[in-house]
Amino acid sequence: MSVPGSTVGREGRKGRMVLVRASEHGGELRAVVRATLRSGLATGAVAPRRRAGAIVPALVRDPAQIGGDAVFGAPLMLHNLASLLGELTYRPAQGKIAAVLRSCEYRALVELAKLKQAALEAVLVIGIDCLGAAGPGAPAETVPEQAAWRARLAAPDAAAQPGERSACAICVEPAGVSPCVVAGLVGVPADDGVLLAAAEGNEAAAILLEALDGNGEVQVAEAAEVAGAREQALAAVVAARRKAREDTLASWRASQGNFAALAETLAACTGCLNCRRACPLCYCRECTFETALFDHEGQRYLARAGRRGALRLPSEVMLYHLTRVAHVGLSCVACGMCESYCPAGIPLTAMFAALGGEARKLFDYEPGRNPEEALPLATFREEELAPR
Amino acid sequence: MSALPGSKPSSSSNPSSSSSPVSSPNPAQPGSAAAAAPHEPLIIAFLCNWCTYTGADLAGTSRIQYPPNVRVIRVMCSGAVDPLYILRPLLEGADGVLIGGCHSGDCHYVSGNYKARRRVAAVQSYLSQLGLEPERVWFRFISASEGRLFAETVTSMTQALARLGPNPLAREWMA
Repeated sequence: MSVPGSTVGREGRKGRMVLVRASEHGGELRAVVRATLRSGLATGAVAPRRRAGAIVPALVRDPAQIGGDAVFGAPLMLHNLASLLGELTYRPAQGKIAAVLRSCEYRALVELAKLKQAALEAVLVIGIDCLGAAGPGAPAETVPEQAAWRARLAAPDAAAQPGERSACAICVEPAGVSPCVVAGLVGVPADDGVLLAAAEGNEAAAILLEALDGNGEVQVAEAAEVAGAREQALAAVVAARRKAREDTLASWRASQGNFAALAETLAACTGCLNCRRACPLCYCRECTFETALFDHEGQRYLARAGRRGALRLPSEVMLYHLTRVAHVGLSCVACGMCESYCPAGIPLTAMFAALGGEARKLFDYEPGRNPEEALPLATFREEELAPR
Repeated sequence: MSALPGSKPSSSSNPSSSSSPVSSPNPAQPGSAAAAAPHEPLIIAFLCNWCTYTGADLAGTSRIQYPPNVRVIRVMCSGAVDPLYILRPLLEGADGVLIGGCHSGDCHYVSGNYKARRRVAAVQSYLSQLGLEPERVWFRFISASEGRLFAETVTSMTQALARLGPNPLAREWMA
């Protein structure tokens, strides 16, 4: 199931591809998720439910509970669902959990599985295209009605939308990725429905498409033309975003390539550790910075302040952020949840993308690329680096 | 490596009398009149219990002279050195961090030394991206029988760090 060759996405091989159309906008994905439960492919499903100003993920077992307030892939990201799926799957349960995941959520799930804090095989992943999302604190009207956000996906403009998170503006992987099935929205007119691409040879995907074919909730049609339009639209978005990303990283390196500048950037940090809690990959079950390790006696603080003339308070902020970079930088999928939950608005996404991206070159590692690939710091080759 | 076996570092006193406190041996500010005096680097060393720590012990019992600029912390494996342990001394103003582990194939826990090597490389990448010389972090394979190599390593690291000059973060109040 998690054979990398069968992943649908960037470089994946596609099997059957169909257009699924429902009578109401958004009905397609609700039908798909209901079908995972009805067909027995999944024993539970994560359905994000729309509430005033928020989207609340629910673990649903009864397909009838997936109603009009279930909004899959809505342009508001309050969680990286990989965090929640890790919680649901890292200890064994019966059957699979179906979840509709953005690319950054799937890649985070892959990394979390490598950390043994999620079970990839316990999740039935329905990948979904995403051009960007607003974050926590976004006004409720930032999340448009289904028809409006489908219209944006249908005729994508690579520029970030107002209220959209900075991580999304530099995201170069807008296409859904899954070892099972991907729901294509980019370049697909809302009235045509949703493009479902099954991974070649994936049994669950075949069962799912069959279940949809005759269940009366949706119409299923062939999709060749739309698939081509989606590929083209995605390529244009990726090209524009790649440029935006390179510009952002270049300007980060130019302005932040020294400790003094980074200290200024982190000046507003109060050490609340929100970024650690929002991060799907910050893997320590107990964080050093939540312990008493750095609670010193007053005299110690005075001595440290005395050595350098003055001491920033709280005092371990730089150490905290660099330790986070050293722990999760190589695995960072740039979902940007750290920045989204930073009350001070510190641009953490660019910091992780720049620092982690450069260090990854040492190990030719791409987070979320391949579930079979070991974490770079958990493996080694005898003949590499120094000393030998 | 410029140090020769048995070379007597000019600045060294008797190693047994080197129990100075953790504070940097050089309180001088750069640019001040005192900056003319050579910089005495401070090295924090994390040494593997099974090899380099014993090697350092051998250097001592063999009365091999080496600079007193190193503060040794024993760890059970070089693979147990979290990046945090490397970053903290550097942010606090130490001039260098030395990690000593077992030779290839000799790790008491099979592969801790190889994993440490990758971890150190990643930390060095982060440091150099932020403008701090990655040469402030040394990772060396030194066995329990290589007391002389340990002394030479500390000697040449002390010399290299003296050439680099003081760690600029030592005076960065927000670091």
